[in-house]
Amino acid sequence: MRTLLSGNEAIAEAVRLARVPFVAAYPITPQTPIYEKLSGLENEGRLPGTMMRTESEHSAMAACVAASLTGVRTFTATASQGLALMHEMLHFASGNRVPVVMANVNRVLAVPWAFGSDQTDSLSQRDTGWLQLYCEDGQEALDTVLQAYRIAEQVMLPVMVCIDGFFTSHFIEPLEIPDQAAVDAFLPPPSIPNRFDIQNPAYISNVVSPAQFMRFRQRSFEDMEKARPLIQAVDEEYRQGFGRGYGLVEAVETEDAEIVLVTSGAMTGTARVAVRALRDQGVRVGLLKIKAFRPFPGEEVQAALQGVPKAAVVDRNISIGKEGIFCQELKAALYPLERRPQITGYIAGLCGDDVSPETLEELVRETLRSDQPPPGPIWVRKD
Amino acid sequence: MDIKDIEQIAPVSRGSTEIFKTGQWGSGKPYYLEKTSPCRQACPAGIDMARALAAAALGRLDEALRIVREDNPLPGVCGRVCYHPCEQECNRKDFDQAVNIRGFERYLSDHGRVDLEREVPAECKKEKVSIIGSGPAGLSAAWQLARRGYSVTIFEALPEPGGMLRYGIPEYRLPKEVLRREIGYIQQLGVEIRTGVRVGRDFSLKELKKDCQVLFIAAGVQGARRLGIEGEGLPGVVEGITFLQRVNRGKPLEVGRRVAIIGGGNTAMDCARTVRRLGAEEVTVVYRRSRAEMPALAEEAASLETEGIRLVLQAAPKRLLAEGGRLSGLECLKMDLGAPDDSGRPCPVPIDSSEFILPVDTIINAVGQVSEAGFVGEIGLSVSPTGLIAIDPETMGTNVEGVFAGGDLAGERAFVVDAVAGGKRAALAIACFLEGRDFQKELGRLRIGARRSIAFGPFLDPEKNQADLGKVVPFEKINILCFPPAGRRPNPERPAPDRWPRTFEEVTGGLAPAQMKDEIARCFKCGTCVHCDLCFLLCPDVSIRKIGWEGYRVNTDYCKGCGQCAATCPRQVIEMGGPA
Amino acid sequence: MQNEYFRSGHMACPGCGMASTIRLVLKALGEKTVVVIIPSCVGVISAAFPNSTLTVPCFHSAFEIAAPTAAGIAQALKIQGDEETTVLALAGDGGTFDIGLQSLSGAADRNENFLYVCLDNEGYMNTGIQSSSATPQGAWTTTTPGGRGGKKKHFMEIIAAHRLPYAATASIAQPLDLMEKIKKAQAVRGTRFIHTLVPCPTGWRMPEDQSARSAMLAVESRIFPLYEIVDGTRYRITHESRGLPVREYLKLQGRFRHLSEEEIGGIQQEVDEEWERLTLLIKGCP
Repeated sequence: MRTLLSGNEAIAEAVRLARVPFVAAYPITPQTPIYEKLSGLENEGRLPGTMMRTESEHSAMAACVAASLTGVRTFTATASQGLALMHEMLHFASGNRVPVVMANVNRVLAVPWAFGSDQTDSLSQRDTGWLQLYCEDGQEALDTVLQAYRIAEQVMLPVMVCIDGFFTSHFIEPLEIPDQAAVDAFLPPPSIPNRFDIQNPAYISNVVSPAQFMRFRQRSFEDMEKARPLIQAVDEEYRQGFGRGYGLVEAVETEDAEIVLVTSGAMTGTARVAVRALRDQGVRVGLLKIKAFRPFPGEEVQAALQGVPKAAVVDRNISIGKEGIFCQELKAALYPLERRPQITGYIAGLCGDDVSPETLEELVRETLRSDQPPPGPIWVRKD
Repeated sequence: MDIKDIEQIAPVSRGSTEIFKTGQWGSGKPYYLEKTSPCRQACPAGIDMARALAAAALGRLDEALRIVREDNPLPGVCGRVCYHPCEQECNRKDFDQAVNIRGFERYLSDHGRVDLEREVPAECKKEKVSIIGSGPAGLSAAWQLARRGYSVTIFEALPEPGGMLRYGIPEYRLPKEVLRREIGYIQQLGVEIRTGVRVGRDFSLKELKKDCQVLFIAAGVQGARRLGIEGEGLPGVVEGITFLQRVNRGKPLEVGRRVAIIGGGNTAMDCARTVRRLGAEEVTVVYRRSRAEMPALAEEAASLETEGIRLVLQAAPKRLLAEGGRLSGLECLKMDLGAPDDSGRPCPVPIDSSEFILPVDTIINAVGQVSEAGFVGEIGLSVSPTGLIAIDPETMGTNVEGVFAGGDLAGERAFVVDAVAGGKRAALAIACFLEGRDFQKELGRLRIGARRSIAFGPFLDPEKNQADLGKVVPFEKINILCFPPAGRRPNPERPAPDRWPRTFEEVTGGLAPAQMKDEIARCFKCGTCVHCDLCFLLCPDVSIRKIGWEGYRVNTDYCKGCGQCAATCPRQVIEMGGPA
Repeated sequence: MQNEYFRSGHMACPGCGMASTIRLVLKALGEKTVVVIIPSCVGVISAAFPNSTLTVPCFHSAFEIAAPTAAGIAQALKIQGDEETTVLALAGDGGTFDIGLQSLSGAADRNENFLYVCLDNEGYMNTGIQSSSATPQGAWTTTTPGGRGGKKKHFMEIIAAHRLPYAATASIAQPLDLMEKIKKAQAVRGTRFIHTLVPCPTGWRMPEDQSARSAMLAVESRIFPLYEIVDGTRYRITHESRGLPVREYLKLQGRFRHLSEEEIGGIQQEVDEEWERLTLLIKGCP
């Protein structure tokens, strides 16, 4: 069914379609419409589950992990401060190996206080052992949430689906809502074990020795590695069933490019327009959209940028003391290559600061012009 | 996906911590050893009251009665007339008020059932024991000897058995029915009581001695001590013991309107209260020392006032006055209390010119009893100048082999329970004598605490699990935190107008079941495990196992030796010891 | 009564009041129980991988989330059609009065269906006897070596304010009362809270055989009265404390050794006033 929905509403629809029986959440701008929509569905009896209106995000994740351990499919959503508050619980979820799916609506982390889109919140959680998938728009968000349950329940690691605050979360577009039967075929009832078995009692997650810890940690690491082909396979199956697929990365016109613009999230939409305009002007520019951030798609990124002379990475985030996070991850992923592109990092659009196609065009040209990238990132500011 | 898959990826623990033998942490381990209560030590008969109360607390009344009867076959009697030294030493008195142990003893005899099957001895011995006197000493000895398997015959001079219990203590204190029932149990066990036969008249002591292997003389003292004053021979002067005997035989002597009773012991009390019931209008008790020195039970002395009997203290009779050949008055002298005499009590010192006259028509002499048992000289028994048989207080033996003596006639303390104790000790001595056992060794094993009482149960059944008789639980060792404060439940008493005139109905009633239950709960049950489960429930290391009614076992593999069980046990059953 | 759900061989200090308490709680609840454990002495007592001291299913959660963890498990069980299994949250005073207060309040507000037992040994004992808001005024701890300045948080009043269907205080001073209350709580639906005073010989600086006695003294001196609160408003005393002087309780413990006569007098007065207040709350309640 085709209808007009915001990104937040699309996510709520996906949760409904996935027949999630347990949702625990706490309101925070710009996530609130997800929470409100689900509450509305519950009130109408259309949500096949229970909403737990917790008193903080930390408790919301705690409850999701607990319910997931007991064997039910769960969901939560948050942003910014809420995600930061959840930090302990993110490690907790991944360490417990539970298939929780969470939507994070990227928003800048205070201080200074502000509310616009900024990926620093979710990227700061990159070491927590969660899969992280960045969506360009509302349709991708809906599709990705459905795929996330398949992936999570197979790899037994939690999955975070990220969308840009306001740009995607509140932006209303015509979207395709898949029908329930098709979703049920793609996403059958889960077989998540209930770890609390009265007949065969066990103590779940008690204290381990250092050697045991390393064993379990390495196992998590290896299972995350196995997620790469799994994400690919699930995406392919989804494409077959629903006509839409996204891959771990999307490379657009990179084969003959002199320069590739690397983006993620909503900025990719702007980048597509900029790349079109530049190509029309004869610039051999390509676009690399990075969707999967964890596991980081090293092979895919290498394949796309092998032999490309230059790359401009635009980060709507910053790791103070280093550089933009996609940029540093990219550089590390390309390190093994014999012929690495020259990489220029750009910090643009923090806190939802406007990034127009012209801005992107300009920074592509600037990158082409310069011989050497500066040691640190270039801050794109209007003032 | 199932739990086996989860076990590969996250910690899932199913092992048991029992692989860690935490018993190695500490060397001290608790051990259970039941101990003795101070009431048992104080009781001359050594009744294991704490254990009886413990059984009663669990609703096992018959078992409780059996425990009492182990050491005293006359609980119905003692439960009514005993001077309860147990209560004087009851640990509960240091907390709030002593437990009404006497009331409990009576309750058991009133409500519990006696199962004589359990007392039947394992083997019958061939020896015969003859006992002179069916008072408490004789009855007690007979009971224990019969339980040991001996053939026992009691020779009683009076028409009915019981001695002073039957012919001394009035009906309103001890109903005859109760006594008959308890003597009946002794007879049912096989003890023969021949009444109406008097040694020295119907047969001689020598003859008696020939017919049996052992003789136990417990004939009591029924003679009255003379007042030694002018006018003692006048009509209207009655001997106290004779008076009570006649009343108890249903043939009371004539008494007048104004009666004075001389004496301050229980006999005097019995006489005064009896004479009141027979209709005397003015009854006065005259005693030469003060209230504190009166040998009578305090409750008896207190009854005088309730029953309208005057008590004149620190006064002694000087002479009796007559009018027309009949008793008309008692002239008394006031007494001061001087230095203590041999009895340890202050000596009464007459105050010059302090004479006063009490108008009376009857005098009852209750100043004391003396021995009338002249027959004792027949076989060469040593006697004291006052005619009491000389015995070795340890062995109850006389100077004649095979002859033992006890009770009042042997100079023992003149209370029922002391006589019961004497009879029991004699039974032990007799059994040892006949079986060639070392009496002192047995005594050492059976002695309770540091006093004279002995436990008879372990003599009959050494295998039985018994407490450490030598260790008496002091109040400091009771965990009073486990006991809520609660007042003592006294036995109900008839109010005064109901008591007289002319009714010999029991004055003191038995406790009602609800009251008894409360009183049983008040008892600490010092030293006896009541299976309260506190040790079992509290052990942090699950190292005390409960084995049904047998008790508790310590699992030394895991016991860390913290000692909490020992410190918390309400009644000092558990102590910490060395390596298990 | 004979069934055990708690094994020997655990690493609790000798005489640990917490081990006794947990054992009794489990004994009262029975087999159909899932236990949430958080970092605290319970965390250690319950044993490390691959062993468990408890014979029922447990989960080692994080410090401040005993309540939402239990709530999440209970909700999930309900979704699966199981409303019989008892979900038990075991938390120390730190995890309840301090860091866990927020999440407990939230769960209580939603009346989530679990039984929460606070094992209050009046300090962060597992990490080395640091003070918490449950530490009584004047008590020595490693972080209040001169004696704690603040008063013990009156937690039952906080619980009462949440209008929970059932709440009670309990302790090993009265083991049967404790078990009865647990059983009673088990039969109620919603958030149930039991505040247990857990003596700690190590942290309270007393001989290891005094745990039960100190609990008894706490109860009898009215420092820790035993009562129930139903629906946040109906109070009922379940044990008549006899009102022994608080001195009896205080002198048993090294952590109070430095108290002056005046301070002891102050404590006695407060305890008396609090008892008065409790008595008034009970007036008129059935």
